Amino acid sequence: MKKWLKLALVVLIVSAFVLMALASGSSKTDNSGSNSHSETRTEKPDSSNETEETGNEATEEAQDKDIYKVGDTYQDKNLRMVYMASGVFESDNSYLQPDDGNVYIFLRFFVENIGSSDKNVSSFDFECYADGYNCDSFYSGDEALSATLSPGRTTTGCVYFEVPEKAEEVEVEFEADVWSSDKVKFAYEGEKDSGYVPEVNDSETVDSYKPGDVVETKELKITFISVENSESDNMFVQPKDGNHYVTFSFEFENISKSDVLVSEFSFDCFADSSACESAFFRDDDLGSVTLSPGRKTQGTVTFEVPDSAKVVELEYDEVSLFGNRIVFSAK
Amino acid sequence: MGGKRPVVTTAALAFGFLMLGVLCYVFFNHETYLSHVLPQFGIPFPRSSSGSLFHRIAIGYAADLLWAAAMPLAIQTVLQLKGKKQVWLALSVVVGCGYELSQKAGWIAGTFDWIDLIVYSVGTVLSLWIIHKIWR
Repeated sequence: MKKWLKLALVVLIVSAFVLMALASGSSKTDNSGSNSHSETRTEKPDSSNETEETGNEATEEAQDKDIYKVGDTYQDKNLRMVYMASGVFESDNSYLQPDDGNVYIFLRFFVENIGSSDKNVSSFDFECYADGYNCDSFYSGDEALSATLSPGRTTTGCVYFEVPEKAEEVEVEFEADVWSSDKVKFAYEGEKDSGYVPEVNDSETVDSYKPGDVVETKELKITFISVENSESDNMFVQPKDGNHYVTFSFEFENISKSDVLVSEFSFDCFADSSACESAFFRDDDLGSVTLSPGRKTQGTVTFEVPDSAKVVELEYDEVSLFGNRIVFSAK
Repeated sequence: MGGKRPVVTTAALAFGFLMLGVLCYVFFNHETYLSHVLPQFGIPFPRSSSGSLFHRIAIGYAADLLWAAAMPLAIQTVLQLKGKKQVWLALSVVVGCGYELSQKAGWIAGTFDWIDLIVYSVGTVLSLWIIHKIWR
């Protein structure tokens, strides 16, 4: 074979591999295309008749903008966020009311982890500015955005702020990258709803663990004892309409040679891939306990899941080099 | 080994590693188009439990390792280097690691993962060992 032909072939091979790597990388990090058909726009529920639809469809593809408005989608290599709606939040708690001349506002987001590692999203990642002045966050809203999302998981929630009623320009900044301090701006637009409704993703994890299974990690032997629906007899701790509580029971045994922390906060629950809120009302809650080598503990973790959920999965975040997640199935 | 046998074996291995890598990526990565298309035809797509060894290997790094191993094999099929000249194939690790480091620098899209660096290196070393065995 001639030298120039060999050289050309080598360059071709290297280019092909680089292109392949780029393609696989972009599908991991910029999968707006793959997501675009996993979401739909549906009619707004009757219950939200106080809000005004924008008349614009929620944009299915991410855009690079200076400031995002209701219906826009922001996307980086880790997260895809759809700005679903904004409006005024009325607190029904007489002790939690805004100062005179102020109102509580909310911005609702759908967030999907499109990266390859766990991501935390919460109200603490957002700051609000009314006419350039920083505003207080309000953390007692009933749909607060707060979740740890493993890759592919989603959540929907609101961030709340107390702003002057007469503020002309309210902007909310999201810290997209802690390291670079890059900020993404969202404009508060009063009562607006894009009508965006994410499509249900009810695909099951193929090798999830079922009740009765025993999982051994480097440090722990975890026995998945049972899963059951449960009810709270505390009148202040009740599921929202259309939801119910699901309780998972476990036994943990420390099989390592050093102390291991076991905590209910290491669990995240997903109903049809969407994050669920944890509930704390049972006496046998797992809590947090440090196990000496050879010691055991038993306990439960409880989450509030929608009645309509087809697939309910609990993930245990094993803190380790690989950041493993062990998936337990409720069905 | 003489004649065309080493070339054919090397080419077959390069192709095999490449295809295995593609299969790993396509069938076990829940972010591929396949994972969205199959459920539309009523075929459940498996989303692997990230807690298992299977997840760590198949989804996390196997595809990268197989692709990294395939590249020196493919180049050797063309160049047919012998003896100490095969050391030059080790430069192919620059492509994999360079790609990963470019992610860290923010020059290209993607998430930097230092384990990927190890995986690319292991894939290349594995490939060089195979080449050495076949072409000695």
